[in-house]
Amino acid sequence: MKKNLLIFSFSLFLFVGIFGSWIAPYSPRMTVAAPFASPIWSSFLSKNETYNFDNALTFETADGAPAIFSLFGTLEVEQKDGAKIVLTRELEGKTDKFILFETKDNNVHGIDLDARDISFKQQLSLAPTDTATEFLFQKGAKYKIEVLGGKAHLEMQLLGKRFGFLGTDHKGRDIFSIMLTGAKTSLFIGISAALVSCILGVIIGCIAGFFGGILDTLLMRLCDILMSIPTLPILLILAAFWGKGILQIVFIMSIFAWMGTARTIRAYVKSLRESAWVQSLQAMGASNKYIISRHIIRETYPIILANIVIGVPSAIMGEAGLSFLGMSDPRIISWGRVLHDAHSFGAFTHLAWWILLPPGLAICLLSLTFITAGRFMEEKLDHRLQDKF
Amino acid sequence: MTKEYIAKKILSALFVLLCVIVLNFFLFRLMPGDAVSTIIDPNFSQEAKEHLRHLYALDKTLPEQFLVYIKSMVTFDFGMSFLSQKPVWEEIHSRLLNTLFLSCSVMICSAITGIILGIKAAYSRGGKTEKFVLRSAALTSAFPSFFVELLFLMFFAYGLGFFPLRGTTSIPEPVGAFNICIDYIWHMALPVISLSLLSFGSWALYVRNLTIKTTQEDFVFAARARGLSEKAISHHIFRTILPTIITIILMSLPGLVSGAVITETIFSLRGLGTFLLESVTAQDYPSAQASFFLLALITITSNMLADIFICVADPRIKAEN
Repeated sequence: MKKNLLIFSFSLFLFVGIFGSWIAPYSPRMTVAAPFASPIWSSFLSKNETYNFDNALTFETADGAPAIFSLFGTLEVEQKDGAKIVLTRELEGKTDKFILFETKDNNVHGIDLDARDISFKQQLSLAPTDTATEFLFQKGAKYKIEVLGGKAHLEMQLLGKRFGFLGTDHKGRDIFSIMLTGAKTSLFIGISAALVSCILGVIIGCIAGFFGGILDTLLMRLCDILMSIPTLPILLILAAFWGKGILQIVFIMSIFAWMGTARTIRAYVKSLRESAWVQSLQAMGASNKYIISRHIIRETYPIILANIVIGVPSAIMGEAGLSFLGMSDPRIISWGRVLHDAHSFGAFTHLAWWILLPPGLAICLLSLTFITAGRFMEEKLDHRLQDKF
Repeated sequence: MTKEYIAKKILSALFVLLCVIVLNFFLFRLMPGDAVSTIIDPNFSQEAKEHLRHLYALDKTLPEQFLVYIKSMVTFDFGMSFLSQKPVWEEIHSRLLNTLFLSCSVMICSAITGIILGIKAAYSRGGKTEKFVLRSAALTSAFPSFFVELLFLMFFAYGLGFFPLRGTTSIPEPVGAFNICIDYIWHMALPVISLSLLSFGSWALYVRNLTIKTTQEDFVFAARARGLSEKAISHHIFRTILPTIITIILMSLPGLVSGAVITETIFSLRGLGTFLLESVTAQDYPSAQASFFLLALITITSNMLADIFICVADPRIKAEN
């Protein structure tokens, strides 16, 4: 990736991570449309329509049947023999009438009809497994819905099969808003885990490299043992048993990620320790604590920065993997969680690619951004190290 | 001298295994909550509770429990699962075979494809093969494996219907050994293909770099000067890079086994990864302990084998140490 593209991508993710919750068009936790609605630009299916009317309304379904039909309101019966709500369909010269609601008494009724209700389907003599909206609404037909024998204030919602920039998930929540709000989680967990593991690695690497001897052997042994444990299984077990919150996940990911940094820092500090400058400091009577904290740590700053940037992609992938397996806080919106919901709640059966592609591609691009940034830093680091010696 | 080195490596691996076993023991004992709250209903009679505790060896002191545990790990007799009341080994052994088959197939497929492409790319420098290898290595290493697998599952299995949607075998199971084999391969095909597609790029790049480096060695120059055919020289080069390749093959197994948890969850395969996930979700401690132990055993063994092999096959490495 070229440098400008890298800077653009990095700043885009940072911006979305910080301001995502504010610029999201809808709330990521609110049901705004039909489940598994495809993106607006991907097909020519029906869109969301809401109508408020009293007694009569004519409308068309030019784009085909909606996914959900619901009628809500009040009906005051005026005539003696009851009232009914009738839907008239005119299609290619044929006219059909459907009675959606019928009542024989004289009261005020609350209307709450939904095309998915079995009672609604029974009213239309449909089997419980049929889809009422497909039966009632055809493409290019003209409709008139009217209330006969009463006065009504009704709100009709035709939730369409397409919605939003990236469609909806299994609960009808807007994916675009979820993506914008979830960037924060991935970025936070990735950067914190890399930061904590790097700090841990620096501490252990400095101690092992500077003091040498048995402390060094013990710490490197610990390093070897932790590297022989399969990462994802142990993360899975720890997350399942010790809690799935954000801080716990950052903590357990850091425990298993400090080894690489520790090794690099240990080798570097070992070589520094033999240099004339550190030996002169010791000759001047400096304590070990002073040498490490005042001089050696400063030398390792470039390595630390490079290792943090390199550690972020694996932390992001680790968090995405854990969330995909279900080992994350369900109350927190995260990209891996979207993939988990897609796998568990039937997105595949509906061929809902709009739920699968955005989080996956976003994780890929975020990791790629940090990997490339890390490579750039390593190149610069190489020059600095070579200049020093 | 080689024998001493091998013995040292084996001892070191055993030490690491011991530490992992101890970790495994304490990991499940330090969990918050009582270990037996999943199987002992508070309404059970006192005798039933005692009996269950005795069955799972939870009425002994900690050191005694540790000894029982060590014995069970060594003899692969992992006790009874909390969830299914069947011996854990019975549940695990068929799943272990599935996981090993998946990991080994991916290992072999990606290695063979990578080696063939890498050698071709090294011999035709600047040609189409090399460009393809370089581009695909850069591209495929950027994608996380589970995303590509989800894509393949949706596109090829749900969308086009070329591959089955889930599982390791069809329901009902086919009749006849040949049909069972074909059905098994058909179910395993999509995971193996998607994982191999992701790993062959970096394999090919690595083999290409290795071959190019070897081609610049003095012995190749001398062999050409002596008049050997290119074919004979290519055999020599391959013999030189073969130990490194086999070591890398062995070292790639731990990563595959660790990533198998996600692959098996995506394709709903009956493997060790899904078993670990299920038992951990259901708080079934014996099963989780056993599957974690087996996964760690595979990881440590392949690392040890890689270490031993590289020193046996390539005496130069041994001399360096």
